[in-house]
Parts: sequence; C-alpha cells; structure tokens
Amino acid sequence: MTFSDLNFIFRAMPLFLIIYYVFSAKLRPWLLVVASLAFYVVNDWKFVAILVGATIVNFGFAKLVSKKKKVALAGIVIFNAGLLSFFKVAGRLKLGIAFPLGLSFYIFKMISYQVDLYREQIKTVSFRDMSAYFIMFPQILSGPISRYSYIEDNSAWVVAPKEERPSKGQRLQTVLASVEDGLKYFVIGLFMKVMIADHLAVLWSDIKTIGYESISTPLAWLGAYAYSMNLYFDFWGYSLMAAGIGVMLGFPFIENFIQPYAANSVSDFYRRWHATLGSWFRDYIYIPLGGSKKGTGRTIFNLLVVWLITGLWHGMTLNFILWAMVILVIILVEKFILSKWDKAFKIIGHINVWVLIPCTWVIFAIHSVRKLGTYGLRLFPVINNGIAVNQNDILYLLPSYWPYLLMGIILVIPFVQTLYRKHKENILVTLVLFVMFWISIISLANSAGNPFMYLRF
Amino acid sequence: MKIKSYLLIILIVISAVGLSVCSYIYTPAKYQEYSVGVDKEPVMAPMLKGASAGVFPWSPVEKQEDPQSLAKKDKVAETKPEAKIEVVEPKSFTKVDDSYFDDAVFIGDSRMVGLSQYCPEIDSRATFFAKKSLTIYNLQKDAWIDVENGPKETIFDALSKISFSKVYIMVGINEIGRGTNEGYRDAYADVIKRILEIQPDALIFINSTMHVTKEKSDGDELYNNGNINVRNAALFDLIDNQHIFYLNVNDMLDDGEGNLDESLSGDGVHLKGSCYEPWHQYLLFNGVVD
Repeated sequence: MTFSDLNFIFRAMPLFLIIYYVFSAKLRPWLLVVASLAFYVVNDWKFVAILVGATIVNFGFAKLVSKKKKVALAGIVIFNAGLLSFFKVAGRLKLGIAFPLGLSFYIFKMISYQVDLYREQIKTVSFRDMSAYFIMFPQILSGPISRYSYIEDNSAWVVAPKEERPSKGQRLQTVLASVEDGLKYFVIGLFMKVMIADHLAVLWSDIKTIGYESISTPLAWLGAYAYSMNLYFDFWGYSLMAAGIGVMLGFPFIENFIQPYAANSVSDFYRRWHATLGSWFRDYIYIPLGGSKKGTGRTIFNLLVVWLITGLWHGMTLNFILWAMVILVIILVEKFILSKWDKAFKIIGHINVWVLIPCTWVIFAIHSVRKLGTYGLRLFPVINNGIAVNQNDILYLLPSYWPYLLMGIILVIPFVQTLYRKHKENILVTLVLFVMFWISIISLANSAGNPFMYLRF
Repeated sequence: MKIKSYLLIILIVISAVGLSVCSYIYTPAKYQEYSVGVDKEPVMAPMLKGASAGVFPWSPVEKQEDPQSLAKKDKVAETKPEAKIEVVEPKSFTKVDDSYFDDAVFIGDSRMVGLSQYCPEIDSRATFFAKKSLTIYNLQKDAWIDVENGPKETIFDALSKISFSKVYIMVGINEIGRGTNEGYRDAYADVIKRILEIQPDALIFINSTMHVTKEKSDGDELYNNGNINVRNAALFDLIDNQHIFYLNVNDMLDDGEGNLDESLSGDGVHLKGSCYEPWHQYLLFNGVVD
C-alpha cells in the first residue's frame, strides 16, 4: 500500500486521521508508531523485525551516546552502516536476500539521530519520540530524510497547560486547517506522480520497446528529457504527498525539492534536488571529513567520498558509480575552473543544469554499460550505430505524450510555484486542486496504481 | 469558522460520499464487470472505471442475447457445413515478393503499429489501420480510424473506401483477460464476415497473436504464453484455406521453447525496431496466389 493507493487515500488515511485527532495530544505519537508499524507490515511484513530490532538497538546505544561516549557513537554508526551495507551487498551478489523496505531511509535517520545526540543537538532520549521519528509511515518508504527536530516541532503533540487550552471549536479549526493545508500538498503531489510521472514512464518504456539502437537522435533527446521529468515528478510528487501527510498530522512542511531546475550550476542543483539527502551527506560525511576547509586536494577527496557513497547508495551497479563520477567531474570543473569566470559561469551553469543533467539521468536509468554506450551514441551520433532507425519516430510518440510533457514543463517553471504559494487560499485555486484530485483518482482507478497498466499493447 | 479555509476537505468528502453511494447503487446493474470487490478497492472504484469506459449511470443497458437463442444460432451454424457436399482443394502457401503487398491491408494493435514503423518494405506498399491497444472488440464495434476533417470511422467504413485483395490481422494480446475464448472467436468471425461482405474475393490472413518472452510469460499472470496459445487455438476453426488463412508468426519469432526470442524484444512483448525482418520474411514465404 503506497500513498497513491485508493485504499490508502479513501480508507486508511481518513480513518487514521480521525483516530489520531480523537485521542489526546499525549497519545498521538504512540498512535503514529502503531499505525506506522501496521503500514510497514502491510507493505513488507517479512522485514518488520529488522525495523523494530534496529530501533531497539539504537535506543540502547542512544542512552550511552547521550552521555558523550564516543565509542558508543562509533559502535552504533558502524552497526547502522553495516546493516545497510549488508543488504546492499547481498542484493548485488544475488544471495536471494531481499532488500528491506525503506531500510536506506530509516538507517540514515538513525545515524543522524545518534550523531545529533552526540553533538547535543538532541537534548533528551525518548523512546516514544525516537521510534516515531524512525518508523513514521509518511517517511518510511522513500523519505524525505527529516531531522529529529521535525518530530519536536509537531504542533499536534504539544500538551498545553489546562488554563491555556483552547476551546473545542478552536481545536477543531486548528485540526481542519492542518488537514486542509496538508491535503493541498498531497493533491499536488498525487497529480504530479499519477498524471505526469506515470505517463512519462510509459514514454520511456516505449523507447526501450523500440530498442536504443533503433531510435533517432531527436527521440533519444526526447527520451532523456522525458525520463528526467519522470524521475523529477515521481520523486517530487511522492515527497509532496509525504510532506502533505506530515502537515495533516501536525508536522511542519518539509521541502525536499527546491526548484532544482532553476539552479545556476550542478552543485546548486544537488543542493535543491532531494535536499534532505544532500544535506544529510553534507552534515554527516562531507563536513566531518573536513569539507572544503583543508585545501584543494582534501576538498576533492572529500567530494569523491561523498559522491562515491551517493552512487553506491543509489545502486550497486556500474552505471550508478559512473553517474556519480560524471557529476563529481562536472562539480569539480564548476568549482575550480568555471567559477573563475563569473559571467560565463552564470550562463554555462544553467546550460549544465538543462543539458548535462538530463544526460546524467540517462546514465542513472540504463544499468547495462553496453546499452548505455548505444544510447549515448544515439544522443551524440559521432558514429552511426543506428539499426533500422525510423527518422519520424518522434512524430509517432509526441501526439500521445505532449500533454504530459507540457504539464511537466509548466510545473518546472519556478514562477508557477511562486504563484501557487501566493494564491493558495484562493477559491479558484482550491477548485483547480479539486479537479486535479479527481482526475488523478480516475486515472488511478483505471491503472490500479500500476503506471504500466497504461501500457496497453 | 470560514468555509473557504476548509473548502477542499468539504468538496472532497462530499463528492467521495456521493460517488460511493452512486457506485453502490449502480454497481449491480451497470458496473459489475468493473468491480473486483469492496474488500480490494473503495466502493466508488467500479463506477470510476466504468465511467472511463463510457458507461454512466444513465447509459442504456446493453441487452444480452438470450443464451438459448445463441445456442440455437450455433446449432444452425454448425449444421450448415454438413449441407455442403462440395470438396474444395485447400490453397497452399507460396513465396512472393514485396509487390504482393501492393493491394494489402494490415490491421492490428501495437505490434502491427511496429510493423508499419519499422518495415518500410511493407509500409511503403500496403495500407495500415493499426492502433496501440486495439482489440477485436474495438474492430467489431468502434469508430477508431481518424479521418481528416471528420468524425472517426469504423474499419468497415474505411475498407469500403479503398480497393484491396488481402487483409492481414494481428490482435489478441489486449483481449487477454477480457471476455471468453468463445466470445473472442465469435468477434473475430464477425469481423472477417463483414470484411468479406465488403470484398468477397479478399484473402484474410489471421496472424497468430505473437508470444511474449519467457521472462515476461513466467512473471505475468495475464499476458503469458499459455493464455496466448489458448486464444490462438480458439481461431483454428475459422480457417478454410480458401479465403481465410492462419499464419503462425510465432514459428519464426520463437526461441524454440514456445516463447518470443529474448534477443528480438526490448520489453518482452514487442519486437525491437531492428527485429521486424523475420516477420517480414515469414509473410513473404507465406503468400497465397490463385
């Protein structure tokens, strides 16, 4: 059951919201823990023991780490990183061990929690709040990787003193306002995922159907942009849904994609793309290694470590390493060469984002290096490797997909987001969101949540 | 309390309840075939699926033919051939060249779309009426062919405007999981009958529904080669080897174990753009000449 499952939208979520708000603020964290465990069991019951076990082990160590015991911190970081590495490597070696759902995300939270505890950014160890932070269902599947302060800032968990308690009517208004606000984020995310990402996924699949050796160069470029948009709206849409559910539960809004395609360089792009992951790498790997304060050589080494881990974290195949190394090279060129020419960098930085980033997503998407080579030569046909290429192929595909591409292009424009934020209380905007909601639901009902159900033959 | 501040919740709750009530009321009469059970999906889902297929609460209910009268019809159809005493020599397949396709029409789903896009030898000579997701039921009932500056038309309207003497059909993959084998066969028979009414001397080539690869077949409950073979076999009794022929294209495209050769397909279902030549060659080796 994912967030774009009709049973989640019309059954599980409303039911949980009612129960959550009927009970007192004190009990809500526990309700979130119980519901999150149920959500995990429904999705991947086989690995719930790993999640619970890791939570208990982390709680045990947290007591020691809070007393500034460095050995305990090292021990728990090794345990967490080891657990993640074990399942990643087991998957790569095809040992028949599946990868536990959300492991990457809750392990990152566990490491973040322990380090912040050691740094005294977290003052007290509470099993209730800690487990809610690790297990919470809005973030367990694919993030965002929030920090512990996210939990501390939940307005619905604040137990006000008796004399300061608002009236029932006021409390109802506060709850409805949170749900309305979160619902809006959820609807936008759902629409992005279902109506843009899922349809563009089929375009990318059509290109695979044709075979990379038989696509024309214009179609290869269309494919690169379609896949880039597919990935962006899939993940951004998911992140907005997750953030929206969080807002409905009283948490603050967590922004995971900060208009990345408006970035002025690839380095800037990765501060805006999956921002919670980027800041995690910065705070728990890059800066502890010395960041950029220990000379050029050390900066390059630190960036190499960060991007190598980023590549391996995304997947244990060669293409992910290649993807990470290409980005590293672009970032190094930007940082040490292009940055010296301020005016040129302003232009080239944007070109890097708009042209090189889609090319790097192709590396990310195609796992076989041989096939990647074929696609690369279709993008840049310095050698003609085409077999049975139909030069009009782009014209066959565009009529079916242009509405989704157009919607994607519109939503990439930062102005649209600014406009939404300015007018989100406007009735007209609410009505548009209402229509977007039902369009997404009708599409979901027909595809049963599987985008490839659109893929009729 | 300002309603404006909670408008989206109010609108969604009211519309969801309304749609659920409507769906609950109309599902037994209109949306039964779209329902997978309330334990698996929300109550409103069958109506949303039905509405997407053009079935609304106010749409007229299609009259199902009485099973007894259908049985009678079948009996009549079965008795007819017995009345024939004429024994006709079956026509045999022979090698032809590409000019054979000059007066041919190709009708089919995305696999046929692929043939039109990646086999210029045929595409440059023949007429194609092919569309992604096409089924034999669309062929039988729907107006799906685009006409410049006009409403869409049926395949029969389109065929009556052109001259042709050979018709190649390949559908079948999208129909899997939909309707019965008998229903599929009857729809196919009806389409052929109506094409022959337009051009009585036309040769009809039923192309077997192409297999899927082993990986796809093993991992898919619906689109697997077992189901494809059953549907292909359901068409055998339509063949008379006078006007109606069966081309088992899988002979040319399979891997030796009854699956589409992995090397020919990128997605397990379709031929890659560079792999239409075996199908082309098969058609060249299986022409019928009077």
